Amino acid sequence: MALCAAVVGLVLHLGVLAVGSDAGEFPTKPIEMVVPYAPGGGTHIAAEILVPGAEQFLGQPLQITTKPGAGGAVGATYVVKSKADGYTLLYTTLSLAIAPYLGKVGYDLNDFMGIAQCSDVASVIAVKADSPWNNAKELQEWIKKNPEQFSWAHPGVGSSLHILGANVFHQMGVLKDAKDVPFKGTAPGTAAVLGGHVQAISTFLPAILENVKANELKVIGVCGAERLPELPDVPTFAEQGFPAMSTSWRGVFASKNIPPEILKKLEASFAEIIASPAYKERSDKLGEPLVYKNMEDFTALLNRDSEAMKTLLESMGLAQK
Amino acid sequence: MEILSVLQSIVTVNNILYLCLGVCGGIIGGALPGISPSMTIALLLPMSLYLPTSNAIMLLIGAYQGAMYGGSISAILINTPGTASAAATAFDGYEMARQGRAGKAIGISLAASCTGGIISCIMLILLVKHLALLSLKFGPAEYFGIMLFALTMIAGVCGGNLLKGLMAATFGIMLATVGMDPVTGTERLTFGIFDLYDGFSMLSVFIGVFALSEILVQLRMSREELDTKPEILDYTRDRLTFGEYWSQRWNMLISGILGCLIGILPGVGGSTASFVAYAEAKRRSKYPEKFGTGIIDGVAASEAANNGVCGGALVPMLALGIPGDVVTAIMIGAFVAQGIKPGPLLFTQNIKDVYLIYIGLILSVIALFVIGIFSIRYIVKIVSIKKSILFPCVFVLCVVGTYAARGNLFDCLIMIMFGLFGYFLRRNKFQIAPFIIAYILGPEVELNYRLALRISNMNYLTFFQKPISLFFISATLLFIAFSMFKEQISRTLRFKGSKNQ
Repeated sequence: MALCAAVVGLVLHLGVLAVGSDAGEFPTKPIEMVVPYAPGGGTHIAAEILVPGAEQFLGQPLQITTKPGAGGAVGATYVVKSKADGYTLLYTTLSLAIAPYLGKVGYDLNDFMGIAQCSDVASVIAVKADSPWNNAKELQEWIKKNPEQFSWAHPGVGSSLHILGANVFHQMGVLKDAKDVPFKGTAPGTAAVLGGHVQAISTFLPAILENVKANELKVIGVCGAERLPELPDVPTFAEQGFPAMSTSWRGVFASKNIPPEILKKLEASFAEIIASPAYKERSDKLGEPLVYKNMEDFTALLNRDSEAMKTLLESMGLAQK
Repeated sequence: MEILSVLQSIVTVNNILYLCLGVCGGIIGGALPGISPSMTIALLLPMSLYLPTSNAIMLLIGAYQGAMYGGSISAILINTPGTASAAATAFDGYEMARQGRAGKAIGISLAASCTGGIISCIMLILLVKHLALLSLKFGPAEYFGIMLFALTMIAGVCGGNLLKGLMAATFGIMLATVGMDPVTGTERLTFGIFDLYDGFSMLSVFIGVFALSEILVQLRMSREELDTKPEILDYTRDRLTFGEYWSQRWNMLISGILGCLIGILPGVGGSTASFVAYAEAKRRSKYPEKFGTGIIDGVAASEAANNGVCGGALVPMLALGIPGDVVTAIMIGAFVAQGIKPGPLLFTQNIKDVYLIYIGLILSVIALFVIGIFSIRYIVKIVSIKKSILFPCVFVLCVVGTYAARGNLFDCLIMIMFGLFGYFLRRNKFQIAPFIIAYILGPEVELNYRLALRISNMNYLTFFQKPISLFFISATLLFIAFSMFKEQISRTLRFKGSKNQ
């Protein structure tokens, strides 16, 4: 009995000690960065490359935690519901803007403030190298002549690659005739294209770059404003007459309710991390095009894309709000 | 010869050190209920990013092999498989442990894991291009065929009561439908609960139904039973003999090959492989009724297969840049971050990296064997811990591991729920195995069925028009017919036998 009381008393005292002191400049303790996707995935690894610079420029270590689920919504909701003191950040992709239109999520886009954009990845539509289509026009004509015979792979309903790919076919005017086939991730989809089970795949270039270089796959077009540096000869869809401009970005977000000085400090620190040559080197190794936007521009981008996604999803018939 | 010089540069003290570190880490991660092999690799991933390339590869490959073996430790000793791929090991392994033959069980598990690992290494190195081409031939229709076949074969582990086994399997498929529909995106049976959007977390279900239900079952023992220190046989008498190992050679060979072949299919992994191998071993065996009573055949088949997956899963990863299972998906990320680009060009442009991975794989099997042998006598001591202390520790591990998967307390709630469900199943003499197999494979069957129909414009004949799919569906029907025939024959024989008395 006495032992019990002693243990309880000790635990309670430990609780008192655990309340960190808030004296001193932000940050005074490690910062948690939530990646709302599975560990080991592309987004997780992209977030990890921010960690070495954090100690140096932010003054405190950055701890990455993964909270996958609901296409990124679970992690985003967690960040929004956490205390707005600057110690919980979100590292996510375009899916942040997509998820609210696909169903009930626990956050509102207006709850977020962009801190720093880290990369901008353009998606591509790729087909088997020996397919009869060499550009978007030929593909469009074939689909129109052979409706219901064309299928394309993507990693899951509501994923950014699903939406971006659908956008391309929407611009081509063949959305109803091109069947989208949701696989569990990019890997089975790539295998399906290579095996001839589906005709095309909407994916990010790094995942299939090796296959393209080995002449197993060829890229029909790039969704975005610019050609990809790895494939200078492949035109964008916009150049081919189909303005599919949305791209998927990755970046750091935080709750809008955080005090402005802390937001500014976060913005400045991440700007320094991303500008450092060490980060650039790691980012190049990863194959991620480094694109940076500061708080103001990134938040504006988020809002712009949110509107674009809303329109797109409604015209695709996927919007549920 | 180039290979010799590459070998010289790879087999360095540093590399061996990280390999052993990886194997140990993998064994521990695999053995702890709650930490899956993919989570083990994911935990090691950030560390690997700071290491030089060869060390990182040794670390991760070692961990992969170790984890596939490690799951069997907790499966055998406390009937709480550390990983889904060791679930089939528990069937016979735990029985052996209860009969005081834990050392032998872990011995055959280690030996079979290493044997399966070596077999899939050899297959990988010799046949990688062919296996990769084979794996590409599998589209949704073909996956449907093979999954259906696997599901049917595994009916063989239903044990005595087919009806109850089917009911358990139906529960499994029903519960697996919870979540977002994979093709249309609508929510199924989520009741508006946000955390169920992706369905029940696989780990929660698995840990709950296996580990927690076992703890609950054990709780029914009296206080004295829980407090006694169990007797274990003296280690020198409780070892695996070479004769016993050798008697399993065909079993391990076939199971290892099966494991490798299943591993080459992207998206199918250790759990399917071990169940299929177990069911196949039982089907082939001269004494199928002994499976589940504690024979080494069951453990050997399951463990050879799940380590066979390691080599197999590397086939699509290396040859096509497509991960063969969850673990290789994470490993691709680690490799890319190191500057290795898995894919078709890897063989022509960076053959040294390929050799590094091959040699790493072979060495990992050797390291696993060495570390495993030395640790058996200590591992077996776990059996001698008082249950009243052991099980609370296991419970804590289950909760922590389940939470760690997604950082979501809701998952722990689900785990407890499934624990109670599993307890209900056990108390009413339902088998857990068909439930979990249906839970894992059911959604795969459904997804591939619907995708195949979608691609073929609702042409139901597509499954019969594609040769591989036709093959597996025929095999399924033949298997069912054959089983019914066998049942009929044995019933007739028994009837005749009783008439003669």
